[in-house]
Amino acid sequence: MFPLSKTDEIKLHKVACVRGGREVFRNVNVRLRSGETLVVRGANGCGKTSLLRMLAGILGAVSGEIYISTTSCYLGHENALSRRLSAQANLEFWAKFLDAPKESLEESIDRFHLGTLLPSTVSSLSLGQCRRLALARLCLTPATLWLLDEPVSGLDTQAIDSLESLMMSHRERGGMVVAASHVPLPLKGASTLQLDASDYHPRREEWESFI
Amino acid sequence: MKAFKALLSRELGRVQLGAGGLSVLFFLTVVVLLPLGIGPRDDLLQQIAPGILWIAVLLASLLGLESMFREDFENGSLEAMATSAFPLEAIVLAKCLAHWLACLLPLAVLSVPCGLLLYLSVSESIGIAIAMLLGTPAFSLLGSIGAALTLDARRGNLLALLLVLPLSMPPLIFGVLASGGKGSASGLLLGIGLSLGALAIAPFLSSAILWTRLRA
Repeated sequence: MFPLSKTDEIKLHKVACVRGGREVFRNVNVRLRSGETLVVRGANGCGKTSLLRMLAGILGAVSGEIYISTTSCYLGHENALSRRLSAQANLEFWAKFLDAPKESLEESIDRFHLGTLLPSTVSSLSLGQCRRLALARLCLTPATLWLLDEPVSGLDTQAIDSLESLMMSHRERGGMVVAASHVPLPLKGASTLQLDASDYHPRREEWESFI
Repeated sequence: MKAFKALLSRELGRVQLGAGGLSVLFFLTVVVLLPLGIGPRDDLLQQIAPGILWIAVLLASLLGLESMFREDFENGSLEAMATSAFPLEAIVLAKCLAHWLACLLPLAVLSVPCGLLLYLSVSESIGIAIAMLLGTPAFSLLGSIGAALTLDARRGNLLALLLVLPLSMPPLIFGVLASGGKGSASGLLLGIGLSLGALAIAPFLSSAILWTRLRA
């Protein structure tokens, strides 16, 4: 595992997000320091994914300020695996691309019990197996901030335990985790951000000025 | 640099090898069909050979464009790579290089025997191959713009073709000019200039287009 800086932090101040002409959320404040974790909760369509994509630097905010002092590793709905390549080729590609040491690659295989899957092509793996392979990328990245979108979807209990221990060790060495999920996550001591679409009802004048 | 190499070797193994085989077959088919269509008139074939070889290379280069970004965009790899510390411009550049190595470099080499088949002399055929080596990088680089623009369009490949072909006219004109006869030296220089110009512009343009797709 890489050594991490202990002084990183992220700050979101009164951030608002608009997707497809519709305001998804506004006035969201987040402050996360090194070694802290945050679980983003809320119903479908309340902007969990948009918030993570903002933190990853893909989306910009329409208002408010975003400050992030570190690099991030974004794990979205898609698993970032080439279906034509074997599990091993995919994992080795990410290890080389992220410049991970050899021990990290071995650790990722051990943690998510990927040993038997390595020779199979990704297109022949099940949903949960693909997700485990995608999560293994977390062992390879040098980033301090992990952004996980529905990380446990499709996972069995053993893999959820592996993820839990991985997130705990990341936190202990000063890493940050922001995870979005609509199911409870095994993250003890995490703060929670509840995004609620029903919180905000735009008044008619506001819509007109917006359009 | 390590990331660049990793991406390059993955691109070559993943998609571009298949596209490369396809482009070689396409190129050979065109060269074989041409004398059948025109008839065994060696003077005429000799005259039009450089132009035909260049047009065949340009069309063959379009075959690999669809696989350049689409699969990585759909499976989330592009997003994951773009949000890593590695710049998207360099990702585009690695993909262009893989496309050139797999789809265009073999054709530049093959143009020597194909030139001989079309009654060109050895020195003329080698001249064409050199002009192609230096001029065709522009096709890959300009092609990446078309591939990025048509990323999520249905029948994107046809649309990319319409977008890329007009852009590819200058490299084609100077490439044919460089392939022998009067003014071949200046044609070669202009061809190199266009490749370098495309190298300076296309990665930035393509990555800007890809960002708009990722943000959508």
